[in-house]
Amino acid sequence: MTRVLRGALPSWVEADPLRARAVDALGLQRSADAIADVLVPGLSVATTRARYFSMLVWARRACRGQADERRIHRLEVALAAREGKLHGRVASADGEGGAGDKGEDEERCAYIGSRKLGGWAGDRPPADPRTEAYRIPVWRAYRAPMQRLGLLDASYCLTGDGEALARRFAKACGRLDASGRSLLPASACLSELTYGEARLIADVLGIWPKGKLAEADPSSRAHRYHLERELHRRFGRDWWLTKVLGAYERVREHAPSYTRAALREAAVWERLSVGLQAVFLLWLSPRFSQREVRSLLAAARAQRRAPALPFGRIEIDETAALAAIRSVRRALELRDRLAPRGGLPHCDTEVFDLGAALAGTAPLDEVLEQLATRHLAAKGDDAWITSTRGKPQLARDADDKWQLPAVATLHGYRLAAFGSILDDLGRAWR
Amino acid sequence: MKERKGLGFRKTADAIASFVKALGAEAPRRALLCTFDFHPDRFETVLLPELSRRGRWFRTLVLADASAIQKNGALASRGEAPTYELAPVRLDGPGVFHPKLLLLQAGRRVLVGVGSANLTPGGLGGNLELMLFEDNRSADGRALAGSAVAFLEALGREPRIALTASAHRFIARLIASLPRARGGPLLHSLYEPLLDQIRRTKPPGVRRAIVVSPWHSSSASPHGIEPAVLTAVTRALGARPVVHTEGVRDGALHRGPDLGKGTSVRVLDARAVADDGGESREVQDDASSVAAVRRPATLHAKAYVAVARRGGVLWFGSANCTIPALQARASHTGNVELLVRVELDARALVRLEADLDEMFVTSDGILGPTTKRRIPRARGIVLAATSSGWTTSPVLTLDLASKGRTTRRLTIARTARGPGAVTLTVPAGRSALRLDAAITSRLLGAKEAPPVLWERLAEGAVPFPVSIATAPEAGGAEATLEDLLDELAGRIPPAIEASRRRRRPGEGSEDGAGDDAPDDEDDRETELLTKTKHQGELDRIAMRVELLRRRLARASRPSAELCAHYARVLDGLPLPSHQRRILIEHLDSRGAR
Repeated sequence: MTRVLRGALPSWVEADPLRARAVDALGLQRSADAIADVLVPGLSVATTRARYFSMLVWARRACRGQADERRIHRLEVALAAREGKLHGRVASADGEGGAGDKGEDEERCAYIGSRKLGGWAGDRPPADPRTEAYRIPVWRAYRAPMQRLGLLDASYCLTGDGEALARRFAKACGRLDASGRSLLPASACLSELTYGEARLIADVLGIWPKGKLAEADPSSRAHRYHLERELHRRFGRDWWLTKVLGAYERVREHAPSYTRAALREAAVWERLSVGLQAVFLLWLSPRFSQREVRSLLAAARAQRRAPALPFGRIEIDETAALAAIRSVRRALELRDRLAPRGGLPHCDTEVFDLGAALAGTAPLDEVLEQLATRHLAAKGDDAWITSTRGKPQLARDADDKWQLPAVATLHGYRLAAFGSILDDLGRAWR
Repeated sequence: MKERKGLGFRKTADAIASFVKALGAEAPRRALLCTFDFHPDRFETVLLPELSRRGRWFRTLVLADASAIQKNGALASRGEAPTYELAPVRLDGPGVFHPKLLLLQAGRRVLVGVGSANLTPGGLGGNLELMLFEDNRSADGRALAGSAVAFLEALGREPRIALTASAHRFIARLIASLPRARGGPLLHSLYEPLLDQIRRTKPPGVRRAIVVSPWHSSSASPHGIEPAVLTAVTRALGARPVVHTEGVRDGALHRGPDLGKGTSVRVLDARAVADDGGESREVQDDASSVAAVRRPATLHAKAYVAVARRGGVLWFGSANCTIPALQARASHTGNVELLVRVELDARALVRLEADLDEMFVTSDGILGPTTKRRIPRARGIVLAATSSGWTTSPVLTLDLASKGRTTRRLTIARTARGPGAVTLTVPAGRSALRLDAAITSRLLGAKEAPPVLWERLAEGAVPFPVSIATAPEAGGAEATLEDLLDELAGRIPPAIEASRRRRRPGEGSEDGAGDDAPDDEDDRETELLTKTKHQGELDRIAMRVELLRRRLARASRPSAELCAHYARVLDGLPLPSHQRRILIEHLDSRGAR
């Protein structure tokens, strides 16, 4: 047996893609995800367009036997290039880049990764979708939700519903080239969802069924159905995250439905998590010295009477400490009322202890150290800071692109994606 | 992007995925991963899905250092109802469990990954890490796999190292089914200090030497260079090394540690690492680009190079340039460490040195004194717990770190503080404790078994993981044989399968695990098992032995060691001796055909 390797060479470890998403500084996302699983199971924050479901099942059908990701990617880009041609400079996925004076449709045709295709001039899609359009296919973001909705099976083969939806998409678009060598027609645009497709998607989602789904129905369809009914009953079509959280924070029912309970729990969790995040970011912010941070926090703690705070993100500036402490105190009030009745089943109770220490009288240094410890535990060796004691040292940034966030943001609970899909379906319905 | 001259970049998840895709069809499928630090959340999100895709489910055991996973909050991110076993490893006395090894088995095929990367966000690409992945289709891969198996065998036998009973059983099954090779390219520190082995295996005529290792100031830390050790390394390698380590950028200066006169120090230039790291280092163009990309390039790779007239030898792996890593053996006071020995020809040496030249710059300033980082010793007497399932009334067994000489008291709870703690008495000489139903009920309070429990101590509390055993304890003869058959057929154990289904009722799983259509052999097996369902116990056992023999003959071309292993399993069944003998003869007489 050889005692030495002769041809093999080690390699450097390349970063896994999740590093780009690792922004959950205090490990609070897990509880938010658990609540989102009650509200909108099966969907994700990236599934924002209903017509992607029909386009992608059609693309999957074009692959026949096995899901061929490269081919699906080519077909996606054939659509993205058409969108670029139709709508000019489309907005980027995160809403930046703007649609200028384009209409609502153009703005809503924002396409994941389509920045490079805005105003596409060619008659054919780009030859190499990975380098000329976008690297990660949309298929990756939608395939798991499509499995959960029952459009694909576990091995990414089409189910009966998937086949039917693919047929409806093909019928709606007329002549479709499944080779990916030519642009998809304008009728394939994401905003041109037909009633037939919308009817089927609504059916698999569980919304707007004929008849009612029982409250005790444990299926994911029933969860989505009840959420849609609840939001529609309370707000009509006019709702957004902060409005929803603000309304359900005040719900005082003793035995609410699971949907209402989860919305209320989300509101409590957001009060707590946005406050803690703001304090953590304030502490790390290079704008303030450690003495200033402590003084701002001490002043905020001392201010006992303060008006109710509207829901929203907290900018890391001179007012951040006050907003954060008020937010945490509100969360603790709600916790004291709801926790004894089992009203917060998905929230991490240890985080409330941390909030109580912050808003109470515990020495500030201890509280900040606890925040740092929690951060280090949540992020491991991907941490933003290098020590838990004294002045926090920001970890070295290799590429100088990363900057400490300047706002503490709310978790989304997939409500924006759900709302966007409802909007797509509603337009087709009309 | 300009063409790279140096070593390649590779994702750990990709190495696993390509092995599973190309060679993962055959059962039994097992994965054993050794790490010092462990970050459950990232492991469960990045690597574990690769071990359950395509209907190819691997029984997965993670061995991690007990003190590292007791760190505040490290286990908090463990998901509910985990489908892998996490087993802490504790050394009796000083030293830590520090190797980074990945061993995947799919029938006769083996993938070995070895190097410096822990199962943490840093190890999965945040840090600068060196890893080698080889499967056993090549001569190098066979040599590496053989010596990895020999290391695991030695690990299981070392009395200073406490492993859980299930980990022992899993390792026994793994090594029984694979060839082992003592004296292969994988060097371990169990019986002999690594530096002595480096000295013995260095090439003749060493002209210069290179050391790559992070820098910390404490000798208690498993990380970092100790200046005193450099002298010994110089003697072992036969030349004074150029040290590549961590530094701090201070304006235009790159400050590095003071490692003594005459030692040339180069420090990592983080900017150089990020600029040219391959395709995936671009900002991603999908929805995830909403979040900022950040890559702190922290050095975590460890390598020692002796450069001779033509080419040289590279030793790389987990061992930092410290006394417990290089100069002590784990059976005494040292760490458990691994290094791989690779012969570098002139071209390979150029590639490695091109990277080092590109990524490191000469230190032109001295770092100030740094804080000592001491790794606390693992506390408590519980190593881990195994559960029969993620239900509200499971059978829980506690694995203890050692056999006490006297009766001990033990308090465990679901949480670190608050009510609900249960106090138990551990009789002298016991290394495991099975909780009775009443205690389990008090402990869990009608909730499902959690992935983590806490041991309350006089001062504070320490967490310990709860897992479903990858190699269950022998219950009845029938259950033991059933589990062996499941493993040989690549089926998911019923306890884990039940929890997977319960977690996602009525929905397809994202990872596609457990969805493989049963093959003909599976169908025949099921049919035969159904036929014997209402027969006597001995008939059912005999049928399972026959199916075991068929599986062995069909799937793995059993080696003598493998047949001997299964014969030992049969010999341990709770049956009368004459029945055991008949079953062993049956397995043995036709198993080797």
